Amino acid sequence: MRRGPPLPLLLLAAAFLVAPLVLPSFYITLANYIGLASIVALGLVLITGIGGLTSFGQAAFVGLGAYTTGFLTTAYGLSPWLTLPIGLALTAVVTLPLGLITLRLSGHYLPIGTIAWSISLYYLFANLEGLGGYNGMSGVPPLAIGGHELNSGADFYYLIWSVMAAALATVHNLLDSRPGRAVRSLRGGGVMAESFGIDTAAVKLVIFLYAGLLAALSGWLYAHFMRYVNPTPFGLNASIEYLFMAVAGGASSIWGAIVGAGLLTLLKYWLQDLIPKLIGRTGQFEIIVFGILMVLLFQHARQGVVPLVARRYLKPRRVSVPRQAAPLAMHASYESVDFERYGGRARYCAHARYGRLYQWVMANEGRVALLDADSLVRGDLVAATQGLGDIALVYAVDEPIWHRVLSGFSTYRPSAQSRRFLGRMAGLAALNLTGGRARYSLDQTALYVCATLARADGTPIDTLPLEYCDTTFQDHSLVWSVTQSKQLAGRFQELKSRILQRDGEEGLVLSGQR
Amino acid sequence: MIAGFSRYRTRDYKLNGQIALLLIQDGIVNGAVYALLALAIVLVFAVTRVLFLPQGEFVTYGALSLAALQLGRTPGIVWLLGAAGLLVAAIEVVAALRSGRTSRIPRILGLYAAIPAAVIGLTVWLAPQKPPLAVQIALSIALVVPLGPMTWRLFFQPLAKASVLVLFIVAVAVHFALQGLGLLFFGAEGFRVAPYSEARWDLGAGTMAITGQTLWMVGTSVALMALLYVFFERTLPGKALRATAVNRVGARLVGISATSAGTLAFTLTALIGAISGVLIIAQTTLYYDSGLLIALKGFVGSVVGAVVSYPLAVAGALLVGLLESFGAFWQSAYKEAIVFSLLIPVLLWLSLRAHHIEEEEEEE
Repeated sequence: MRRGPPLPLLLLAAAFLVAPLVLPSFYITLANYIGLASIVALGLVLITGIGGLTSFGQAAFVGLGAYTTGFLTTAYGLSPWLTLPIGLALTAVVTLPLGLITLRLSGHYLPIGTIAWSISLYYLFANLEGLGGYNGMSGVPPLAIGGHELNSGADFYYLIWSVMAAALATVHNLLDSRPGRAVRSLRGGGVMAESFGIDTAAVKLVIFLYAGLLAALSGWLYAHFMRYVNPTPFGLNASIEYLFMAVAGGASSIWGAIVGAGLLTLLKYWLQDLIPKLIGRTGQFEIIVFGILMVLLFQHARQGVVPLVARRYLKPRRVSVPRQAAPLAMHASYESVDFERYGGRARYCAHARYGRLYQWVMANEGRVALLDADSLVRGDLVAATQGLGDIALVYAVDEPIWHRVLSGFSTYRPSAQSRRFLGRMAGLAALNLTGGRARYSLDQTALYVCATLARADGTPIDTLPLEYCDTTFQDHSLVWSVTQSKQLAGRFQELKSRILQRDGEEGLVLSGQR
Repeated sequence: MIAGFSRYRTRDYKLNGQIALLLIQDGIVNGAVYALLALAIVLVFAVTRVLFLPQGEFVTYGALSLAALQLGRTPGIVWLLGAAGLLVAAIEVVAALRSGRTSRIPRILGLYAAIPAAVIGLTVWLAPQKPPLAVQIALSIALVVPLGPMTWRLFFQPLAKASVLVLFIVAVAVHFALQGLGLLFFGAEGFRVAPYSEARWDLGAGTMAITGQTLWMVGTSVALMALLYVFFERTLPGKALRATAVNRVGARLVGISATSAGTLAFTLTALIGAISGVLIIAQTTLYYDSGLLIALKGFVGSVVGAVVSYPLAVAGALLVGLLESFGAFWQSAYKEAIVFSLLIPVLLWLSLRAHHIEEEEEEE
């Protein structure tokens, strides 16, 4: 972690402070929109990029915040400062049951569920009596701080960006904490996190709630900034745009929220200006460009803009090896791998390491150390020298999940049970692979095939006894197989040779040296 | 959305047996179309793991093309079809040249350049002459179907190994783009065509009647489902699709190409979407952005079947149709909210069941 804010960051902050004094009011308004959107996008970054969940319903939460204050301040004359906690509480009341129902389901139900409630809430806003229907409510009072009414765009600029800065600091601190590491370990399925004793359902619910509250906060600001509330900005399209912002900026970095919100807001205004001139008609044509850009982004730079730039222009954080880290008993050389320096070869080393590690664990039953959730995501070399064993595991955060899942076996005390667990992990790794998290390399394929074979023979994956283990090197890649019996091993070898012959065909990429 | 029942809704009506029958009839008619869409969604998801939200755009493209043809206009999507065809052909030819498989080039040009060109030429030639209805319908469907494999090739095939979540976000992005293109090519106004049949059979009891339109919609849906059944059970490509759906890697090991399975699945889904569109637009007015709600109702249906079971998806879609028609009777302003809140109990049930399975695993 950095010791203090670097100079560019300070300059940026200074530029932010003086901007309203020098920029024309149109740009201030634009900056306010960006600020409002980035508060929502920050919540999405937290749940989507870092927690691995997806919500297409954030705009509905923005609407909840905006409508609560809009209704209560116009109909009952409540103070905006009173409606803020009410709006947040209402959002919590809506979010928690929705989260409880959908968060424990596998990946794709959550987006479908969120789309559904997004539409339901939209029609509710538009049709509930007293909320002004599609025309909305006007006359929302301005915010006042100590008698000073915030009427100008510049006043709001400072408020919005202060809120944004506070939200950013909170999320940043959260992610650096122990619970934050639990959040980060969610990405990639959470099986691994669970095997480390993290209550993933609770963690998911908390970040989902937090993202909802950020959205409601943004909605509250929006209502008092615009002084007007209508259903359109809280529909499904708006939700999709928020998600695009989070993803475009770089869903795994909290700065991605600002960058994404900025890029997409500017792009939207530019396109809304440009397209009518090009085709002579007005309408929501910018969504064509948005859609296609998003597809291209996913096809070519799935990490988003921020990591792309960071990788190119910023010095990567060095993976440091603690001095007291005891070398892996048998293969110290693999542990001294410097991920940055070896570049492309690091992955090959990772393959080899886990293969060797596996052998080592098999040969040294009773001397495997325990790791905890912190080591899961710390991204550096973890030495676990707790008297029993002298084993060290390496995780780089950007390693494919199956590496991490595979190494999960070391969390269990070795026994017949841990062997079963290892078999199960192999199966899970195989399933993760079929989820498309990494391109197939040979050992992954081997794992998959043997897991399938085991299943075909009626053996549940998690009771696979792993009596036969075969580890060989071929073309710099590790062929690693665990099968149930010698007889199955024969079939496995046959399949393996067939896979080898198909090298390069249809994505069965058989190499570890990419 | 595709409800023709608002005509029965007046302030004075109380729900009685007759109205209930009418609502059930409407629900089944709409549900039949949702069922087709739910089948398409399950098919695409099983084969490619894409939750294909833009299915709704195939519906509106097919429907609005027919409306344009009836007005004697050339549907704007001919240009989309041409451009997409050329783009895909170019990509495929470059890929073929790079891998040295030049023998594939004629087939590529035929599929992605010649066929779309023929369909476009035919449309541009026939459109002003107002051909018979059957020809118009055939042209509308032929304009949309090639867009299916092109969508797969351009947007999803490069991401074939991405996670379900990534594929879904991309599907939403594609929906965005296609909806915008729909606005560009068809304009913002709504269209409707005359019912395909004006026949009516009174079932006694006064207002109760079955219309020819009802029979067309339900009949076409059932016939298409039967055809799909035969396709999946009796033909080699159908069996290959099923194999891919059951186990992608396994299917690949026995020589079924995941790419061509994806192409086939997307072709089928575009076909089903276009046919559904042609059916729906005789029932209700469609706009360029009507596709989303229609597709989402198919989704709700397929979620009832947990996005894996075909018969359950059909049952779920029928349920959606019925719920929508009764919801419209009681609270027409909230009918969308009512339909989508159906998801809550279903998701709750799925989540309880998922929990149960987890527990079982824990105990072993």
